Amino acid sequence: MTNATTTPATDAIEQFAASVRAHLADLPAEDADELVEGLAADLAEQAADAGDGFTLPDPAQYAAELRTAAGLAAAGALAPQPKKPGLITRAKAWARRQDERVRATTLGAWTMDLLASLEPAWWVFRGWIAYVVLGWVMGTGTPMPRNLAGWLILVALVVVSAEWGRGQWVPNAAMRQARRIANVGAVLAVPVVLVGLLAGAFTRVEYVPMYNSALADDDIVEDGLYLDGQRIENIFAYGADGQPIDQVRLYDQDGNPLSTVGAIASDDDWTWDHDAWDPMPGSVVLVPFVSPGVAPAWNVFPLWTADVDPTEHDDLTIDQGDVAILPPTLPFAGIPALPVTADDEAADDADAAAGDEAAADADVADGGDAESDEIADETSTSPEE
Amino acid sequence: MDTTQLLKGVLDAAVLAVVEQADGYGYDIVRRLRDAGLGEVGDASVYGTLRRLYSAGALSSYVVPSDGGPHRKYYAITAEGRRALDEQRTSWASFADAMGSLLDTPTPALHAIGAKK
Repeated sequence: MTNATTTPATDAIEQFAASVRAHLADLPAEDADELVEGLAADLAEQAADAGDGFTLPDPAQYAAELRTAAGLAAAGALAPQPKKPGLITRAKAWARRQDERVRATTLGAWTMDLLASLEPAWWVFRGWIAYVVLGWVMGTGTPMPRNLAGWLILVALVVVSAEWGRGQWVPNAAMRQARRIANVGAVLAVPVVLVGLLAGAFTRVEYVPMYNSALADDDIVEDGLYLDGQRIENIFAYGADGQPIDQVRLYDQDGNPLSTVGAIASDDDWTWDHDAWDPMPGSVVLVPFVSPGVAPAWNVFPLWTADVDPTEHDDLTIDQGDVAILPPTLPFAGIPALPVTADDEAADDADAAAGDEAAADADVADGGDAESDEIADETSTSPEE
Repeated sequence: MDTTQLLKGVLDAAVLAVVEQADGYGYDIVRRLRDAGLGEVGDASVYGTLRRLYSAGALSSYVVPSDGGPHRKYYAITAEGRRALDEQRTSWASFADAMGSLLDTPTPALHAIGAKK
């Protein structure tokens, strides 16, 4: 604090104003400047009014008063925050309020009483949770004991849990603290233990061999025909001469009709396979080969297309009489002819080439025929109908 | 009772009322508040309040050059400030009524504060 003389002690006032400004340095410069703007002039006038009795106040207090009145954030030390009650205190208060609220109704009170009477069950359960967690920590864990020692440990834990629940065996504050920690830990461990055990159960089921070699790696078996994970929708065969072949009938190694649509191939309807092919604008609806008196054949390639917009058919079923059936768009109008090696082998080569072109050399998983045993099962001959 | 505590709640209304009577600059307003009987009003509180009311749009300001001295920033009340002041007049009146009837009984010492309004 500085004593001003009768004449306005301009220097002291300027110094004071600068000091106040320094105490506001944490504010945005604009706010601080505006707060001390004209301060020196105001103080000089005040000093002139007060005459001899004028003293400059403490700049820190003055700055604090300025910023409080201006509603600007206080610097730490000058404006102690009201101390908030601790988390535990607040949680307890909240729990008490909820309890009162629930007990306000008859049903609520009955439920709470029922839950309270079930508390011993929680004590036992808590002991078992402790046993499972302990087992996991020790690396020997099984959900239930498998030998006498295990049973003794489980019983001991349940007894401790129950005694703690009844308010026994907690002689001092340290034990009460231990009980509190154990309780919170048990509550937190419940979902972990349950999920862990369920996952364990599922894991065992998962490892039961359900598929043989060809499909063992795949968790999900999808309908239809796939090439490197991409759905094959249609197959185009070209002869040895490089020209497209109109109607090729394909079978797998077991003699099952090879279809790109999977299980629905056995349906008589022209069902749009919605699960496998999201109808997108521009995608095509494939239809099977039909002829009077014969079931629709899905293994006659290439499949033709129905002239409909699949996005407009919510029921995924198309009335056969209503739509025009068009030949599919060929990927190639024609391909280079194979070099001819021997006359009598030309026809066989053409078949093999057509097969290669489409799917036979790739990872082919036909969901409709998931039981296929060995890919190398070459012995089965292609059945002809 | 410490009047500075009482002042805190009503300083906005007091400052707005003073500025409504006539525009004024910082220390001018402090002086008029003190002359009106609020002797204990802190000048820093008033300056801070002026700044806050200005930020809130209750006051406008303009600079007036003074001969031989520094320029002075004058504050004037705005329409919004008038509205705020009217509201505070109403709430103060009912508050003062309530406190008046509460305190307007035996104890003379307390009665003195009630009389101060």
